[in-house]
Amino acid sequence: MKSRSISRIFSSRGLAVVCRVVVAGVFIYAAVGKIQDPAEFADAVMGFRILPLQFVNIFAIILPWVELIGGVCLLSGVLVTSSALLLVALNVMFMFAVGSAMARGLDIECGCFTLSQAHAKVGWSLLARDVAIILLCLPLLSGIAGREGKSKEQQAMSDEQ
Amino acid sequence: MAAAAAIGLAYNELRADKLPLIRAPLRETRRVAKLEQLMPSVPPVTESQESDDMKEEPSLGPAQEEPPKAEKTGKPVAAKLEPKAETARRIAGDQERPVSSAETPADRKAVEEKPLKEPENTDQNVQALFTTLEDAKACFDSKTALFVDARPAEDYQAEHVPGAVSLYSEKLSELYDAVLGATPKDKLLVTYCSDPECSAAVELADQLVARGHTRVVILLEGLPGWKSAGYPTVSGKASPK
Repeated sequence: MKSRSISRIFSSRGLAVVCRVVVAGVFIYAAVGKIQDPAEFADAVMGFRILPLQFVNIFAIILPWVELIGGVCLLSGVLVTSSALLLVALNVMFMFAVGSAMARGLDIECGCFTLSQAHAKVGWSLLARDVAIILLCLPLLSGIAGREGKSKEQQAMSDEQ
Repeated sequence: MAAAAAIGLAYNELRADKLPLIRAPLRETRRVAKLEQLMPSVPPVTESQESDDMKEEPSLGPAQEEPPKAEKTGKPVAAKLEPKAETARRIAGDQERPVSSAETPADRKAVEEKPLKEPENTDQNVQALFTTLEDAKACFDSKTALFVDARPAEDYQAEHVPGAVSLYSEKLSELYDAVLGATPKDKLLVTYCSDPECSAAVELADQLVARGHTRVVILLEGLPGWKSAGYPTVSGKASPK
């Protein structure tokens, strides 16, 4: 019974919409700042000392648009599952970068939200935020939020339930 | 992903301040100032060039093909891509007259006390040059340079070069008057930050040049390089002068 309730909660269309809006908002906000000032984002990427120097600028140019397109797709309900999967993958990458920086003792800014005046430094709070975003994407990965890939019969059956 | 990459690259090409696709090491983006430029008391490299050197203001634009003799004097090291120092002063909105032997300290003070305008145009590619650790240390030992820490205040308070002032590059317009407002424009300034690929010191130096400072160099190795060389550091807020 309990597992059904939890499953219902996660299957709730309302919850999925809320998750879509929140996650999309976060990524669109993050992307806009980086698109406006790619140099600052590139400097932040440099600080992590992960990418070879030659690839830093290309990464800083392309990544924000991946975030933006993923966020817009999520918000508009188009290709929701794919977008959520993409954003989860991005978050996993961010967590790896932050964890790596912490392990090497780097005291750097994450460069996550360049629009914000308060530039967050790498730390446990950043990791926690990334975990929270991944959790918010979970309902979206179940494919409940959109009707993509569902046949009419499947939709009718889920509606009956 | 491919669409995002294409859009991103296309948008970058359309930007006025587009990012180069391949990032060059900061070290390769401009020249290193000679020691004799930092410390005028050090004689020029060759005596035969000395008389020619004294006739003109050297301009040390890193991207230009400057005549070598222009580098040999202890004159302004804030590199300007325009050949004349007077032009750089005009860009910075400085009301300063060319220095002459007849100028008295009172005249100079009157000029300095005049409120300076904000730089009218900061996109003139006015740049400062790099300096080496050894040269920076020589200036430190001779007390001819003022070190300017471009990092956030908390990093400065944790550790900094003795005698350095804190001027976080992102808050320059708020902090400039309090930190460097009374500093002569020809005072040698050495900016530094946290590592060789940290652009904060470079940006700060260029902004100081745009504000009329004529002798600004960048210690590219930053504080970690300074410490690795065994040079002294202190912690805490700056002591009042």
